[in-house]
Amino acid sequence: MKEHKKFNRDKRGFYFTLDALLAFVLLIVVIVILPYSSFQKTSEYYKTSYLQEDALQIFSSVKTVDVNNQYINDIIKDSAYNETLSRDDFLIESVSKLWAINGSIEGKDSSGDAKLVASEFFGNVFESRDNIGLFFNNGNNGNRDLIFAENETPYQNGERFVIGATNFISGISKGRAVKGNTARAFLRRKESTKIVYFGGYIGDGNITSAVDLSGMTNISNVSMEIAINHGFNLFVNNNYIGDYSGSSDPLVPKTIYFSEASFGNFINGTNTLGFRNSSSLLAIAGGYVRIDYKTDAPEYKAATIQYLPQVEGVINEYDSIYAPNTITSMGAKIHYRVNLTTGQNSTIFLKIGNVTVYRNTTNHTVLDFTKVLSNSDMVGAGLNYNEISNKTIPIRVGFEEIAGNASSGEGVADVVLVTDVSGSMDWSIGEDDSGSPEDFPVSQCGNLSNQNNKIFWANNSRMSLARCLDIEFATTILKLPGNRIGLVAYESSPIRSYRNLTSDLTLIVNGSSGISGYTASGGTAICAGIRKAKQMLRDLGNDTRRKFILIMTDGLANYQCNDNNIESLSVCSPDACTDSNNQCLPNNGLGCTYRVIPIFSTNERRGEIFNLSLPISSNPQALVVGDGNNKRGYNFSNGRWTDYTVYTSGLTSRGQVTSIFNLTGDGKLNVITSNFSNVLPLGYKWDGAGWSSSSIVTGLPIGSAVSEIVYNFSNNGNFTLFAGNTAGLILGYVWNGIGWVSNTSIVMGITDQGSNTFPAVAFNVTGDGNWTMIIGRTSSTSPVGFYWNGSAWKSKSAYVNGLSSTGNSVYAYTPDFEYNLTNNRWYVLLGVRNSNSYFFAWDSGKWYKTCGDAVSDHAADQAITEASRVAALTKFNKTYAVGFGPIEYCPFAQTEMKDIAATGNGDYLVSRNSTQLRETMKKWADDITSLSFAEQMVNLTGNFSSVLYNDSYIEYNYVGDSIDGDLLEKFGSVVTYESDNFQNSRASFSFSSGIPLEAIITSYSGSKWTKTAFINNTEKTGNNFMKVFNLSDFGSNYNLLGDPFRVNIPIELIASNESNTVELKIGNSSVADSNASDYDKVIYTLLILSNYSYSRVTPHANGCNWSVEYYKGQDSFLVPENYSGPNRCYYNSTIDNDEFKCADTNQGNALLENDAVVQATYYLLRDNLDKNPDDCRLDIKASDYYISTMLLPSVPFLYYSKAEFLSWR
Amino acid sequence: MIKDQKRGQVWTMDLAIALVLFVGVIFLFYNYSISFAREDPLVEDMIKEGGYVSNSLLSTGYPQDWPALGLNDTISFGFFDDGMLNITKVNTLRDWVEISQSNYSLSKVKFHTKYNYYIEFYGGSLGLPEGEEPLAEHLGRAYTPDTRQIVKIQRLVAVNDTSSGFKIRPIKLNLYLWTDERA
Repeated sequence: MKEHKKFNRDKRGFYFTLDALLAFVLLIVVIVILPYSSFQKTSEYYKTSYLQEDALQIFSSVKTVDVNNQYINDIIKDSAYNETLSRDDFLIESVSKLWAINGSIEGKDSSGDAKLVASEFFGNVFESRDNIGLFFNNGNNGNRDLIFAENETPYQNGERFVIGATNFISGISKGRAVKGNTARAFLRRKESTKIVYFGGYIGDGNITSAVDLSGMTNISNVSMEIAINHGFNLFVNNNYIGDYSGSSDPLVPKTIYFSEASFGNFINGTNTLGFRNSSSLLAIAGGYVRIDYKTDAPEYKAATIQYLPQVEGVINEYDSIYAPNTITSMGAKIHYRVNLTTGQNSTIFLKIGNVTVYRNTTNHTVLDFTKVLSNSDMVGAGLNYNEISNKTIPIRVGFEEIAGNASSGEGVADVVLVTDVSGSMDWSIGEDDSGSPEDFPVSQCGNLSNQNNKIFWANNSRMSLARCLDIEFATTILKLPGNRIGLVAYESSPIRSYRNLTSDLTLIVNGSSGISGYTASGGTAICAGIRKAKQMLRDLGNDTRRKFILIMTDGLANYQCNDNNIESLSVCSPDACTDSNNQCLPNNGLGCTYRVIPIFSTNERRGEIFNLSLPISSNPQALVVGDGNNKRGYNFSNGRWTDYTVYTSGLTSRGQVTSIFNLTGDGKLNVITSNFSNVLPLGYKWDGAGWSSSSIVTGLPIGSAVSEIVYNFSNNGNFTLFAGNTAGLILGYVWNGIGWVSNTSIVMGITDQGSNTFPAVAFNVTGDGNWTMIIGRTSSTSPVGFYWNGSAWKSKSAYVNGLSSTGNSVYAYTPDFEYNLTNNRWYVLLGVRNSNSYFFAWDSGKWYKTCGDAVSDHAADQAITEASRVAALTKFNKTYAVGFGPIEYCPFAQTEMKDIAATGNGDYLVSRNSTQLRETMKKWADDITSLSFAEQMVNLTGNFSSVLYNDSYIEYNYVGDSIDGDLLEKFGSVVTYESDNFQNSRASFSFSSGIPLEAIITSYSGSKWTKTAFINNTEKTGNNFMKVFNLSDFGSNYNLLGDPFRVNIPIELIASNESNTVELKIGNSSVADSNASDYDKVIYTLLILSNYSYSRVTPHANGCNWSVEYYKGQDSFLVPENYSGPNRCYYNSTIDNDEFKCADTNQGNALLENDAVVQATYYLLRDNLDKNPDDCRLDIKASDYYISTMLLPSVPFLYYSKAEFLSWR
Repeated sequence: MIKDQKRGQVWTMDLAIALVLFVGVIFLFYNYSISFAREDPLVEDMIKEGGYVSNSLLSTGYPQDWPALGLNDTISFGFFDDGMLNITKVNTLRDWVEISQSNYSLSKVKFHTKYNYYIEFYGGSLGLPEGEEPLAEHLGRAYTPDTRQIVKIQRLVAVNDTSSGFKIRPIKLNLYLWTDERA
């Protein structure tokens, strides 16, 4: 048993060892074999992530239309999905939209369709062992919806999901619409402005200009500013508008406002403006038509083509074009017709800049010509686009035969300068004073452009100034080669010296008869001076010379010429003229001398100038009554006094006369005559044909010298009478309705003036607002002055400043005030005992004697007659007349100078202002220089006529486009502004907001050319005047160049938020500048950015009919303008709305929330038009503007979905 | 007696514990061996090159008109034009590499890979396009059952397929890189 047990125990160990050994072997075998067997297998790795990424990439980049699978197409094209799907969508969009709208379309399982589309597309490419699928889910955290799968293992049972690729799809969300809208609302002006410019000179004949009004719907205003030489009939689209007169001056345009009735003649598209005159050739020397109208079309477009106005007469156009950038190509068409008689030749030319691009000569009788010029023609002709880009380019169309005699560039003017060298020329320029004014030789003329030049001082002699101004005048004219000057120095000899026509300035200035040697002496024989000038122009000129004359004097004509021999230069003093020697004509019994107010033999008394409005006649009347039978009446006409004896009919002389109107309430004029003699004053009333006795002197004592009657003195509401007397006092009376009652209070303060006083009383004579009294007296040669301080008269010597110097050492008494003989001045008529009566004019603190000592009205008439004989010469152009000194105040002198100038269709000036005299004479010299050339206007002779048709054009293309009209319409308004008119050749304009699109300087240059233009500002030109245009860049002979009416300022030179100063000069040839017309201006166009607002993305975009409250009342409008739907929207102060303040709709907030147009409009009103939203009232009347909207449809919503390709095991 | 019985129980317990340990060790070792294999640098290299080669195949190649230039002048192969599989390019490469082993070897150089490659297309009917030369269904050198290392890269490509009721549809491009090298 023990043995057995021992054996068993031994076996147990064996078994244990064996077990352990087996286990160890097994372990080793497994360790060794298992890995070995594993690596012995063929390895195969799948990289499925590429499949997912590639699948999603293809799914996202292939359009549904490109898949072009019939099965898919049938689904996508289903009419139920019309508003949702597009075959242009990418496949992922189509499938996701179908998935998103599931349930929104009745009877459609769009989600199922999404799965069908995806399965069809991917079905054949994946294998089931790929275990791959496409999923959509809302946002980042939504539940995955399976769209498509190819698998062995259902994805619900899948493990180890691998997200191979993900795409976010914006604007797609399950259960929501897939399309949205957003809108912008803009506020823009309804008005647009079209400005059509005429050229610098368009003529000569009937003119038809094209006006493009494309897009115009409703005209609100049409005006035209135009400088035109004759009256004309105006037509719009051949419909008669009216008759209009021509411009008074080529530099002064006239403005025509079209009547509303005429607006209907304009059409949407191309219109024509016709200017017609059946008897005279018309010429437009600049101007423009401005048309304000309503339009939906683009409002601004820079021109690339310019049609030439149609001219029926003589083709003669000066104009300009402007390309705002580098020109790339040009072209032109010229279509014209000429009608020539046999033997006539005609050469027409078209010049752009300084290059003649077309020239054609014909001698046929009647022919139409059309020539189209290509870009190569233009380049071949020599146009260099780089040289003419970005600048105003003059253009010229015309006949060389007309440019003809000026083609040499030389002047053809003959000018005679007729200068007064009479004795009074030694007097001062400022006043009639024979004292010792300073006299300068011509070497001291200095710079006449400097107004501080001492030569302009008022106490210098007239001769000094005349010499200097004559030299400047001659120098200006002779700057232009070919022009000639002749000199005539006249006085009473009568011709002191003369210099025949010459171009030699040295002879004119320093020759033996030159201006430098002019001295003053003798009388004034104006007629003789003009007669000599006539002979010079006639005998030394010829029919090709343009003739001018300038006549200068400082006084009135007082020497007469021989009327029976109009070539005679003999003259006589009017006092010495007799019939017997046949030199002068008798003066109708008054002798040759006819003073302003004639001399009485003895004891001349007071004159009275009646109130001009009184019912005796339409002219001023003077009534002067002397002692005995010396009583005179005069009528004032044409600057002079003439006898009118009816005014004294029925009067008994009492020495002096005083008048008053309607003293007794009978509507009649009354006079009182009186003197210091021991007699009663006498009263009269005017009965229509003469004076009859009146009792209006009741209460006046014997010996009262009634001098003045005024109404409402010191606001007393009565007629007040002032009288002098021999005691040297002034007596005062007040009319009580029946008679005169003495009143000492109204003469308080008047001291004893010696003897024989004569008061004149008027209100505010000197402009100080006081009653003014001047007392003449026999105790002194000088009157005395007083002013009324409300209770008494106070001495004021300033009132008689200038009256002490009458030029006669006799008593100066019997003053009488009169206002406005000719020029709105106060005059005083001052009778001088035993001598002439004189008029004095009040000017700037002083009385100036007006008309000198003596004048012969016949001599003056002779001067006018001689001037008319000069004007009758062949090719005579203009007469200029200038009066130096205080004759400025003399109506007779004004009339005489005016009449002389009028004979030659010229200008005149009478002035004591030296600088004004200089500027005027300089201007005349410039004008003559301009007219020295062949005029832009032609004189049509012979049987020549032509037509330039308005399908003729110049076309120019350039780099860069103008601002797109649609953009303008959406984002801004185009507004055209005009600067103030030019002054002294300059104008300024500024703007603080907006973008400049165009700026044009208008230039009424008359017969001259627009010469230079400059602009100055801080930002763009550094405070320097920078050149904008210079005609001389295109040549020195202006006759062959165009003449811009409009000068474009390059936009890059215009500064905002500061003043832009523009300077413009006009001129002729290259020799002289002149100031531009004061009627020029800058017309500039700005893009004003609109106020606008945005909406959020909404499902709808329809619009609304708005009713709003603005600060003046109620307003309504449609947005968009053609909206006709049922939506009604409100914006007013009664609405309480937290979400959309001030607003409500007929659908509540839903409409504001879900309609993009409504929402954008609301924000525009609230944020832009209601500056104070608390009151819920708009600050403007919105219906005066367009509220336009720009709709962006199919805008994705801000929400999104996620597309994933997954794989799993 | 009782003591003997207890000895039998102890042994059985030992066996159970040993068995658990054994199975645990086997399991851990297996996992270890799998991990060890995935980190095989050869396989990793093949996978990486497979990615490069497949990306190259989905490009136009260089120069873009390489089929017109010849194998020697081609710098890299690509089967695509305008995002679509260009069948001409596929067939050109197939023709070139079938001509000779040296061409095939040269093509590996152009692919910038030292491994053998094999390309096949899958996805429904590949008789595309209609009326034109059909797409080569495979090209390159196929591996054998004895091949030791194979990496398969799957790509999805768009192809003009007028024969299948589509204009454009996806097909699968399988790229195999293989080698007989040992890890």
